[in-house]
Amino acid sequence: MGIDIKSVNKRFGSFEALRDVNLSVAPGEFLALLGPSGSGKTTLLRIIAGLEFADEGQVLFDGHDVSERSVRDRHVGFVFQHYALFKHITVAKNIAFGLEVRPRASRPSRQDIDERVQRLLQLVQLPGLGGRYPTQLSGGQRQRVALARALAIEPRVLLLDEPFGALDAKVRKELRRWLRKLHDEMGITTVFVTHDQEEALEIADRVVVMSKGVIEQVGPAQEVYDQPATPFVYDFLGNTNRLPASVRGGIANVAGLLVPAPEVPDGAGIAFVRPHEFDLRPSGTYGGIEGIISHVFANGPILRIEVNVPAVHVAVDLQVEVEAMRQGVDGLSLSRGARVALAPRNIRIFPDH
Amino acid sequence: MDGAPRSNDATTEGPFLRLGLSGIALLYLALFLVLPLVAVFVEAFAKGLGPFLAAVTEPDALSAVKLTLIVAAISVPMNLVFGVAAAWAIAKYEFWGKSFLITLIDLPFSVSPVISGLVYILLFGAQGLLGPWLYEHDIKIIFAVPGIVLATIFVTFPFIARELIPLMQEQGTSEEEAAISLGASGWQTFRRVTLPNIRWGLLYGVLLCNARAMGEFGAVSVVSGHVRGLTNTMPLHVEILYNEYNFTASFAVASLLALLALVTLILKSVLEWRYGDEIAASARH
Repeated sequence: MGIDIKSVNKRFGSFEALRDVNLSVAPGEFLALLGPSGSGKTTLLRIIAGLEFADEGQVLFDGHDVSERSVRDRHVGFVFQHYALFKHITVAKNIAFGLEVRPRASRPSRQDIDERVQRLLQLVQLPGLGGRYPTQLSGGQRQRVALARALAIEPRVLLLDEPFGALDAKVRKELRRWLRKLHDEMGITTVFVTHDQEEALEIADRVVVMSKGVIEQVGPAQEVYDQPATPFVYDFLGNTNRLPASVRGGIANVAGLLVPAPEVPDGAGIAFVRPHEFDLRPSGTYGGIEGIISHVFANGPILRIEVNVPAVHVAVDLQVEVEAMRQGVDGLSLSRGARVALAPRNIRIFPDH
Repeated sequence: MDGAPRSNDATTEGPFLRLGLSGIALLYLALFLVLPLVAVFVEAFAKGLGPFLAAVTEPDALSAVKLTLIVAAISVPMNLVFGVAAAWAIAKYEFWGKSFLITLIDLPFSVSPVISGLVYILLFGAQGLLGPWLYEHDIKIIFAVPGIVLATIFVTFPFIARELIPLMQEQGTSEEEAAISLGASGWQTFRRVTLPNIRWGLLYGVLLCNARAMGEFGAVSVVSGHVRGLTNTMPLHVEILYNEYNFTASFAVASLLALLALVTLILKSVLEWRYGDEIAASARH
């Protein structure tokens, strides 16, 4: 099922949670809403579910306006961050809940419900645990029960609010890959909220980066990472170096290095370069920023190098972080105090407001 | 260095201090709780079983027991419904005037029960606000059973709500949201999710509310009029007998009241013992 969100606004008192949000989710897509806390991502998910209602704007399911419909009528599967399992009933009863509360006319028979519960337990890899109570399960198992419970009603869309947020790192990694495989098998449109960029980039088809109630960028994971559209996205996704720049006539001066910046207006700018997008060259090489190595940290095959760029036209020395593969820098002296040139393979200039 | 074993626990005090503290606590309990309770029973049976039975089977005493049970049977269910509704509204929704409502629920705890009774006299009494109208329509509230029930409800209504509000606030709304998103109606959500989550707190609230409803003296005394055999509850009956120097009968009825309180306490302990694991499990997580 496809979802369209049109000009949605939402306020909580004086706090603007969402400002003119527009978004389309394609049928069968796996979409991540990514942002720091307070960015409005959970509010957007809850508005899609019908747990929250927009002040203005529409939510369309397959082209039908469902803005006024309650969560009960929207037929969505919602998975909560802290599972929200019913702790006084067994796992099997939890999964069967959505079927058992149906009116008698549309309720499956006892036997059908039992069979479906068994199938779902199999699907979420918890066969034989139907008789347990939620408190007897680990966090990862509880989250899978929550997922089975949401899937039991055969929802048109699966919505997950920080589904792995409360789990430890290893379980989180396993579970998210498993979820992605499950999605590929079932093909159900899935939207999940996360503040973990690694999680979003790894499993989502497309990533929606949000900040302060506004969508900053939407695109395939790789594209969002490689070509951040705004300084916020640059900062939020992965490590990055922020270098002050001055722009005149479409050319930016970044610590002595001249970079074309045709779309940036004259004045102060900020240049972004990720640590692994610097090439280390011998000092004096053309097209590099001159600096002095202040620290070298070896981390397995990767060298993490801090380079001091002496203040030329800026007030303070710049600290630049560089990542390089150990094999790639043979022949260079990388000891403390050595002079090197930093040649960015990829650099983006934004106006500095 | 060998010698006397030393205490390894930094928080463990010397034996004298420990004994002293326990002794003070036990003495205090014995003096102010156990002794009076024992005295009630001793006095009740001071002249043997015969006078005791006579006192508690006397028609006025029986009518007092009956009235007390009726009052509790009306006021506890009413406060149950109100308490659950109020706690639900306060814990699960945001609305204007919420903190005012919480303060209002605490009101009966903070005003003297005598005042609570007087409020009803001022409202429904012969010289009260609605008095003339009630008189014209021949509706009796003050010095009658309805007044006693009203006063009891007023005095006991915080018990259940107060027990439930923190519990429901702590539990949050996500289980209810999950139930509704799975297609449950409001009633189904309440019955299948909310109620099971609050049942222990609710039970405590009901037990406490019931104990107070049966034992309330001040507010009931003001509105009852002390008509023997008609508007006397057990606590009032005890007082009347006592004022007539009929000590044995007075303590006999009092011992019945004390017995009811003890049964309530024992019931609570038995439930805690029987379902302790489950209570702990539902409080956790």
